[in-house]
Amino acid sequence: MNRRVIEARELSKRYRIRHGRFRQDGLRHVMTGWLARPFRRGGTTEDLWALRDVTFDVQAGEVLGVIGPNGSGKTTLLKVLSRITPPTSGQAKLIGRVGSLLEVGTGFHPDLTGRENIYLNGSILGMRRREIAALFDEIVAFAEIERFLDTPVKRYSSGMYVRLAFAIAAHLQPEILLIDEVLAVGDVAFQKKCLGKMRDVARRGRTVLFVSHNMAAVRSLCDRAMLLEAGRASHYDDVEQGVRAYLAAGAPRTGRQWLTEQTACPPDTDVVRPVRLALVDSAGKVIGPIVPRHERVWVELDFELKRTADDLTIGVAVYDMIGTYLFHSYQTDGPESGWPRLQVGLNRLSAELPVALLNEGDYRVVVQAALHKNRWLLRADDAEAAVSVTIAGGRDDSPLWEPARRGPLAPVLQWQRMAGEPK
Amino acid sequence: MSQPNARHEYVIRSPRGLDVNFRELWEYRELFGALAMRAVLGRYRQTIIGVLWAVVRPVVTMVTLTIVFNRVGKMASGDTPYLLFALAGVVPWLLFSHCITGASASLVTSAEMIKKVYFPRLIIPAAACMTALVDFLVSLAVFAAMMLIVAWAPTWRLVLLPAATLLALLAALGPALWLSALNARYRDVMHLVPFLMTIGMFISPVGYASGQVAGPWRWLYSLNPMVSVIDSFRWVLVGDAGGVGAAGFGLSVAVVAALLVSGLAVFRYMERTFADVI
Repeated sequence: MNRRVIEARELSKRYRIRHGRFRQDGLRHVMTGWLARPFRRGGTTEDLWALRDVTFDVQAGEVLGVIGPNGSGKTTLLKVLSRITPPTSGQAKLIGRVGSLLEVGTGFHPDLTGRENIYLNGSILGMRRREIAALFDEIVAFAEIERFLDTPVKRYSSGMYVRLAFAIAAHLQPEILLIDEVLAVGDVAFQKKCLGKMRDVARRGRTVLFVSHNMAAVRSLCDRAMLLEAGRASHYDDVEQGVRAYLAAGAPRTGRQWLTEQTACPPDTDVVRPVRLALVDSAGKVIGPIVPRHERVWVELDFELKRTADDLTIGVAVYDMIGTYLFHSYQTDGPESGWPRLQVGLNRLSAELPVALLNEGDYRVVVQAALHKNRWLLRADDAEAAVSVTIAGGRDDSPLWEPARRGPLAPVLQWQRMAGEPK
Repeated sequence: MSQPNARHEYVIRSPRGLDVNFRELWEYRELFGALAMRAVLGRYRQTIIGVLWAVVRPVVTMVTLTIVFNRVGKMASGDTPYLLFALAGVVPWLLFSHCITGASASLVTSAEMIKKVYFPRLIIPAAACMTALVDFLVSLAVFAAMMLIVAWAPTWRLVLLPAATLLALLAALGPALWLSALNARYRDVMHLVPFLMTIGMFISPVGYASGQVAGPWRWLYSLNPMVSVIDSFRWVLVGDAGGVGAAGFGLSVAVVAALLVSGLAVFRYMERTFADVI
């Protein structure tokens, strides 16, 4: 099928932002505005281009993933394609019935029953009454609310509400489906169900435009990717490349190497003074911002030891993207015979980071040092000497896709079947 | 902004004209029905006096008018008992007033839907008027009951009741579109409405016959769209009761049409930014 079902040509959307103290949202403000005109000072208007010359084509049966940071124009693009807001310039042609899912539960009325809301919501989403009637049982089964069909929706738990809303939307059967981040609701079991259904829809030949922050879902469902940044689009035929480009754009500002001379207020203690912290590869070269999980990374810590200290423990602490302290490790871990000997003056310590153990995401590695059972020298929470890295991609080779795993760790355990019957 | 054709092809571009796509409105008739149903059911579900309220309101208004205009103001109503005369004015007036009050806030109330789904936005104020229509039907039943009580026989003119109702709806639709569109942009418009309705009730022939307005004022008075509507209802329900005359009637109907056409244009123009400003 080589038909183009979506043709977008230089779609642009401009919003005007007012600055200044003059409110405009009431008729009374407009009227007092006229009167105050001779006295008005300041007040400027700024143009915000949510979309800038966005051009793309989508073939029938394709799933296009639209990714990008918040505020890049993804939702605006869907709104323009759904005819909710008009473009400022440019045009788009859509061939086929369009269903948009910008949020679940649009139009639910709390006093009406589940049954009534199925018809109402389905109607709002563009389904004909007889279509809804034909799919009614399937919708109810998907939502698992058979027992509550005749109860007003305001009595539903939030989980039931979301399941019902999604069930209705999932049974839309338009030729073109525009979906915006609706998968972020519900518990894990429900999300799995939703994604399964989306995959189903895509397999049946519908064209889907899928906006999401869930990179695993994008990788699994999409044939191509479009990255939006500040309203401008770039296209990637390889979804993985698109995802990498997105993650690189959003990577944390601190680099993979920290040098004391580049710091405004260099950390220093009476016992140790950190000089350099870096993340390097097997050749000793500082790595890039994104490291796939199958690559090996070492931490290199250069510091000056000012005096002998047998109780010195120095190493790094690792935090995840939301600031959770994951673990720390010192040169004194392990049997004493294995501890590296430190000398007064400059020392360079190196240790391998367990990249393969960690889940995808952004991580911070921070220098930490103390005099054992005595006092802190450098606390990682103060984050004075830190580097960051994003671990992404290069996940295990399993063909079974699933959304990003829970938890900060994602080790690949080697499963084997033991010989003989279990007793 | 976009035109669908039979094969479901949409071209989206920056909007130009102010035309109303009637075919699209027809395609969305089921949604209109669903929204109207939702409004009506939502109102009457869970309120025991929901239906009773539709009866109480016209009765109370009629009684108040009787006391104020007939007993105190000694307004005459010709051969018709004043109670019926007043009620014949109250019934269409309440339809007009409820339509407008309901419609003016309707877009803002449906803000979530407007921001998330496409459908012709005209449906929203129109569906809001449907609750007023249901109340209207109930008040017609009240009128029928009054006729029995007062032992007043209707004439053949009753047959034109649907036509009068249509005129009332069209008269309400124009201002409803104006106000709902303006309110979406300027939130305080909705607060003007009760005030406008109060004034409106006095400058419309609800409690008195429009024919009472004499001389040069009559032309100015006839610019009120409700003059033609109420005069029609009076004529249909209780016989000719001193209306404003053919010329005045014509002028009033012309204003109804002008408000409707301009309302549609204003609505279509402001519709372009609804999703952005609501």
